[in-house]
Amino acid sequence: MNCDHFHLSLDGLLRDRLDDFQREEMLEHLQACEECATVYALCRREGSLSAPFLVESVLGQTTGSICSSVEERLGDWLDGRLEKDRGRELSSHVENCERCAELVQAMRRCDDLLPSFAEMEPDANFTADVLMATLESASLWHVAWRRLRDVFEKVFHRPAFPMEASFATTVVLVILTATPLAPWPQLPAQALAVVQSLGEQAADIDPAGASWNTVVESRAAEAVGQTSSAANLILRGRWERLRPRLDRVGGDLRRLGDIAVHLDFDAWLPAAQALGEDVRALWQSPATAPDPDGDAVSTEENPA
Amino acid sequence: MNEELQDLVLRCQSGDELAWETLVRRHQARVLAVAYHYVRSTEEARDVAQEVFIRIYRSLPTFQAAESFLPWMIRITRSCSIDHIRRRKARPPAQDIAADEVFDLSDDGAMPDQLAEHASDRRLLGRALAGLTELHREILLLKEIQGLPLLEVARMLNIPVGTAKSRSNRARAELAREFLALQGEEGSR
Repeated sequence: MNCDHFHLSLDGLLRDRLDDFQREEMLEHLQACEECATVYALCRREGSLSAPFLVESVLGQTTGSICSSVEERLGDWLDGRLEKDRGRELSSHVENCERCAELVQAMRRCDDLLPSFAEMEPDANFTADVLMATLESASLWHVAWRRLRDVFEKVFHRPAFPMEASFATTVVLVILTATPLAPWPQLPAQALAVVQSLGEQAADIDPAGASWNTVVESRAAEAVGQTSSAANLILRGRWERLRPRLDRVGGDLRRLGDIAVHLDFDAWLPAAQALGEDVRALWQSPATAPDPDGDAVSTEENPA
Repeated sequence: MNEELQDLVLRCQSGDELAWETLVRRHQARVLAVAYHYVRSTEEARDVAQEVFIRIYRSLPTFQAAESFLPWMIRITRSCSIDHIRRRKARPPAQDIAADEVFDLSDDGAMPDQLAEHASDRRLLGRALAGLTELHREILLLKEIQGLPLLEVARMLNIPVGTAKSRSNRARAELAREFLALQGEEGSR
């Protein structure tokens, strides 16, 4: 045992908390080391062993604080790399030293957190850039595809992605099927009809007859045919109805141009109003709007 | 080196591009973190990490399977980072503490208490690390953060094992003291 170890266990000796082996070692050291014997005698003379900082005050008058030498061994102690009796000595010190106890607690917290600094997430393009810089055979599209895949992976893994995707899909469907100028206004009704028809057909299926797959395939083919021919006819009918309205708007613009050239301000207001009316009519021309010439056009016609 | 990694390295050595991509994906976060600890700038760490992989790719044919891949990779990362720091010496140094933004250490008031405490401690620890001396930071990075054995750390830093051990103990105590001081500052606000 050396003096450092003696000082670490001195408190235990004074309070009679050491086991026989340690006590034996301490007493042997006391006989061999005059300086430590003086420290021990000082401690004994102080008498009041219940004073919490007795050892510190005595060490302060003799060897000075030993905390700095303890600190250097705390790492090994926490990792369990100290010999058993040295570990006990250090434990004894830590139990009685508030400063070292606080430091040990902080070291434990740091040990828990440090491994979380081992990795740092790279940006989405990093892998593709490395591959482009290293692989000789990496063609441009190959790298571009990898980069695109990385970007999509990042997007797909975002928690808000399902909500955003369903919102965007809804907006697109509404624009395509439920706005005044929608190209496929009858799509929802037809889709519903197909689904209803499939349901009815399913109810009538004879188990020994046509298989469910056959029914679905035939119905799907019909639906596709109906939808595409319906879309063509609707677009054609829509254009036929829109053309006179566009002609009117064109006429209004031409009239306004004439008025501007001839500085005929009296005629300007009614012409501007007429233009406004015609533009509004053009915008509001829904599928069921009457023809500008007065002939009602039913777009509920079933082209199929 | 575990068998899976060994197999991956062998496949890379035989020119398997898919294996190379897997190797890059698996280790890029670690290389980036090590590079960041040296250069202290996200952008520069990215450049260094890219350079590291290029160097690894070119050195793979001569890499001996008996050697551990991870220490070899970290050694290359360290070497590239130091080269990079030497090259940029003429330029002004990067900002001192960017750890908050890089490691996503910002406070999040909406988190549960435990997570918020973890994030707060992690942020303080990032600052405490930045406040250490270069050698202590490096020892902690290699031994405590990247988990390299003491022998490897000593070899990398070119110091005796005993010195590496005592320095490591001192670095841990210094980090804890710095951490406590920052906690005290934070608490007194």
